[in-house]
Amino acid sequence: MSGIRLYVGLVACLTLSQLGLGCVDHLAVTGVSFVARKYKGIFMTILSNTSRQESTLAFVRILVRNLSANPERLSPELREYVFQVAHDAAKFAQHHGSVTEFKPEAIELAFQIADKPDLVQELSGMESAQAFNKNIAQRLMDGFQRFAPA
Amino acid sequence: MVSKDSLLHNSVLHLILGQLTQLAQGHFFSNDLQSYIGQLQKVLLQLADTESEKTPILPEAKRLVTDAVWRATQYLAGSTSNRIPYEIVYSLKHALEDWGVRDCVITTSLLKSSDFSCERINSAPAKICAELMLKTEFSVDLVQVAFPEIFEHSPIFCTPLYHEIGHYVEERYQRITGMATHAEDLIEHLPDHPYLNINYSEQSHREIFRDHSIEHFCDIFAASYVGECAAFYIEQWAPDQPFTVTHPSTQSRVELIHAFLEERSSPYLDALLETSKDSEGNSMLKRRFILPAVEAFYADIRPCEIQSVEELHGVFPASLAFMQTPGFPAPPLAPMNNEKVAATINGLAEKSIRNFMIKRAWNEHLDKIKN
Repeated sequence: MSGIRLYVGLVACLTLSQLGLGCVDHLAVTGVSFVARKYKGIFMTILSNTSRQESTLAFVRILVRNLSANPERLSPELREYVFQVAHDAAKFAQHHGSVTEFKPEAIELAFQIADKPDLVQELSGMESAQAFNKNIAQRLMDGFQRFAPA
Repeated sequence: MVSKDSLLHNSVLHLILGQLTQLAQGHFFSNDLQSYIGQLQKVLLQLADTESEKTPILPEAKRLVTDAVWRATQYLAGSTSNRIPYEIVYSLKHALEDWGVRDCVITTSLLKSSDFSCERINSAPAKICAELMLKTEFSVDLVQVAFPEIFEHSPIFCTPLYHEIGHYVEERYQRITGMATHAEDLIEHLPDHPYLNINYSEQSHREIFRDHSIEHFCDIFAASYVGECAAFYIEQWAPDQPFTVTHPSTQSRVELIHAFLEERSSPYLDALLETSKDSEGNSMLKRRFILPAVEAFYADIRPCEIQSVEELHGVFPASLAFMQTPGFPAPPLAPMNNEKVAATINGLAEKSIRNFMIKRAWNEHLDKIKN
């Protein structure tokens, strides 16, 4: 019986969503809230990334995002850290050094930027943390966006 | 006064702190875990203190640390429940030491589902705190693995955990990701390459190559310690699993495991072995187990006498083979049904390892006294 109710609920959800209506909320006021809640429980979670594990780069992403928007929020130590990771990643992407010489996060970042020679060139050309400015950070952030949404 | 934006996170932080205080009052078998909890408490107190802006920390970073501690608490709680599969954890610890991971404690969580998993390396608080430059010294790192609760006393069926700690090793050293960064010529040798959609972008091909290679590496890592057991679980539990963007097909995984065990050569397998070489140029992916002669012991329903660490790893495939050999089990196991035989042999394997653990700990203690 509950299977039939679930089926009816799903059809209703699909129909309503095709009409551009938020199915769960609308079903809740149309008398099939049990089915709607069940549908929500089975197929949806409150956040799309509730159980997704962050990659090794999660912290680097936070720093780069801050560097691109609010660089003043980063301490000198953190600026130095994120510069080193980005610089090492660029070096590794340019075939310099082996994995054992770099931090794991630099290797993972290298993988993500390896097919962007201009960005790699720019990052490897930085000589100090001060050179890692907002613009470069923003370009690195754009590279991130494609692969690992925040 | 807590700001509106940090209300939830601040509450979570204090709730976890309460949980850790409770855990600290429990009994751990490991002093390392006991002190780790103390270190976590210090971190949380330090984070709570940032509310007063004495030591400002980026709010996003604070959330990352809180989440990491929350996850760690789940595994630490699992490790105080006296339901840790000590025997397999002991074996895994030896495997990690082979790969230079000596500063770690394996914590476990029991799952109601059929999954095996390993938390990403930056889910362990020590890693994040080091990056955040929080002034807390962790004496060990956590390797956080989860496995099905129903296998609590079935060590032979827990061998997928060898695959899982392979993930930890890869995350720690990023050898395969490093290989995938410069792997243009290798993509065509990927076992599932024929199934790669030609409409995928070059970047997608690289990502699939990396993800598949990590899975293959973990399979070979497991096979190097537990031989056929590395193929057994995926073959029996997911025999028809097709190629997906994150995982290779079961068929290609099993074929590669067999190629490794039979020491066959292929450009792709050779690349994996090459990537895993130590500083002296020897591949770390090599057969690291010896099959103990379990038959004579198990046929009499006695635990096997394990003589070395290689036999410790080898007791898993040897026990599995004993279960599967036609004509076995011999009497007195013969009258049992399959289910009972599997439970009995798992029990014997568990006791064999436990005896080895006790004997070794005893000998080490005696050696210390002598010296």
